[in-house]
Amino acid sequence: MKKKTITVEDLSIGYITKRSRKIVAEHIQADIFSGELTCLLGSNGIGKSTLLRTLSAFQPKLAGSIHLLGKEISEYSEKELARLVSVVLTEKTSILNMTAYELISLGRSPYTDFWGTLAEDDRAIIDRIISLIKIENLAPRMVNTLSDGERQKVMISKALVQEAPIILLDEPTAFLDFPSKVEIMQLLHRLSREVNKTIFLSTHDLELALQIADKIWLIDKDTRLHIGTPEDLALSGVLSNFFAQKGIIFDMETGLFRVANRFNREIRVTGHGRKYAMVRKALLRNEILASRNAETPSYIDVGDLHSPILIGQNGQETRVSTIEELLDRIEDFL
Amino acid sequence: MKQRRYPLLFITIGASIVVFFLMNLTIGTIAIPPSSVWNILWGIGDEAPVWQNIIWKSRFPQTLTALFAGAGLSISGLQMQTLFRNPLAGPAELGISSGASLGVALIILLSGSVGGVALSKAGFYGELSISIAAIIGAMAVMFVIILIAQRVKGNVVLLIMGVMIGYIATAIIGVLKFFSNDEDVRAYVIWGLGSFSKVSGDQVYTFAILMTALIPLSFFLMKSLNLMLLGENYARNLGLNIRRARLLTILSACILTAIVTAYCGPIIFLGLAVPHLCRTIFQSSDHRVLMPASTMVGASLALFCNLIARMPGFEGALPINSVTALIGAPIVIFVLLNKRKNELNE
Repeated sequence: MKKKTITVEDLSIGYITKRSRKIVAEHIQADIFSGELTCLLGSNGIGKSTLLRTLSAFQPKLAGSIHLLGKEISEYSEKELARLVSVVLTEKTSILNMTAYELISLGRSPYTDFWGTLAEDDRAIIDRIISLIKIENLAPRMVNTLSDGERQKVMISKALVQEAPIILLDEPTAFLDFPSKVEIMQLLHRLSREVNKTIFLSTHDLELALQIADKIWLIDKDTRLHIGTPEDLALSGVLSNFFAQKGIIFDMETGLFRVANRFNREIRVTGHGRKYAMVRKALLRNEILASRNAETPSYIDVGDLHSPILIGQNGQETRVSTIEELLDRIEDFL
Repeated sequence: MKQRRYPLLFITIGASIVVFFLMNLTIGTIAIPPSSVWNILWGIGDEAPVWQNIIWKSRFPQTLTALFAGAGLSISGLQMQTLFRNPLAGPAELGISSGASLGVALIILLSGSVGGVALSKAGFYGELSISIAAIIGAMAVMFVIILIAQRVKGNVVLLIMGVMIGYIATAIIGVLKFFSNDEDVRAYVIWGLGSFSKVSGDQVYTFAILMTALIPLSFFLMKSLNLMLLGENYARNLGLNIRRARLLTILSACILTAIVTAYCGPIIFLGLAVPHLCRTIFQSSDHRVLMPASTMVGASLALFCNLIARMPGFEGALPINSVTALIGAPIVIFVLLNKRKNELNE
């Protein structure tokens, strides 16, 4: 069920030092909803972390208001905030001699007694989260022996046992290998649905964010904030504008980005299906544009999946069985 | 599985404290048989008055001092290591010991060259004023550190400030020494060697009572320290008032160090080595285990060091700091090498 949990009005973020105020972004106007995964995108140094730090009350806002569940953030005490917002940070804490279970159980601190003793129901909650994240095998292991992806899951579990309705994550997919990135993002998406959390994260993994996020917050070069579903932002041109720089093309058909290949030659390619797509891709990487209607003397017929590929020019023809071979021979026919 | 080993470990360490305590009373240049020690302790039987004097006037106060000094310094070291997230932090690192030394140097050296009084020969009042000077010196540094702690954010900066203050104190001591007469310098140097036998008479009971009150007080910081392990931001997000926790931890560690240093002089390596030893023995970072463990292991190790220092033949010859360093340094080396191995196994 979608519910407005964070309301940001005319917010200015930045740093105050003794002498000066450095404003990173201002006039931010936005809402964040529960049951949704919201991804914050933007270049390095544009203020993503500052925004996250401000939302998690680590640093004061310069102006405007942030309402968490209808109440102004600065009116909450530290203890109340601990039960409202949980965070997963980029900093890699090196802790020796501590098991993953112990680390996760520290997430119960806002609820435990003076000595931090875990009560019966604290343990029940920890066990429930551990099985929700499916890390039963990691729980007894020492934190310093975990891989980056495993550690990230443990930190997310810590955030979950904190039982806060809002979870803020600062680049949770940084330093992870690709399968782990996908796993973590899907996990977070699943959590937003299954436990109806408000999940807000910053990331540099555009592709993943565009595929998995429910909402995108995009800070552009002029520190303007654009908000919408990935699809709406694609249609309105915000995404292509933002990434309109050398080397990246926003592919409207897939709604994703791809590397822009420049080309200086053309060739007519006939065929269809996967094999056609792969041949086209390989040629493009080699700065040759392949198309069905190009009027060039040389041509390629990709054939079907199991037949050889035919290259020809002026009646001369040759057959190759792999794309690698095709690339080796192509120069002779251009 | 791991949890079940804790009681056994605690019982073993507790037993070692009792054994070392009794050995400290028994062994020395004059050997007193254990049965007589037992009788003297409980006031039964007719033991020779000489022995009674040795036990009650010399060995018992010294042993008690070692016990509490070891416990206090180890707790202080543990708190500092967690606060600064630095395995090499110890009671000396914040400049507290240097502050105490400066206080003592000022009073010993200045009273000699300016006031013309040799404090080193002033007996009880001399000792008392040295203790007070040490506490004032340590507290002054602590005050500066707390002021800085409220201004700066990073703990690394704070740690470096502490080390710098230590250097400044050492430099001033160097200047003072240069202008003082040899006898006072000697008195200061002897104080600087550290000793568990300086505390005489009833002073030892004041020391014991102070430590008995303060060590349990420091246990109140267990939950805060556990949260600090995660780093400041995570700790804050879990509802910890980081500024207050930091102040209380510094205050606790400083007071413990200041009092021990006032009574025993600067004792090195115990505060640094014991927390490492405890983490290795107990395989835990949980302060609910480490705090009592450091108290007990610290007491036990200090008693052991004292025992070595006053083995027959060494009596009076081995300064306690040589023993603590000889035992403490290998422990730290072992733990760090061991840690490296664990990291490689990742």
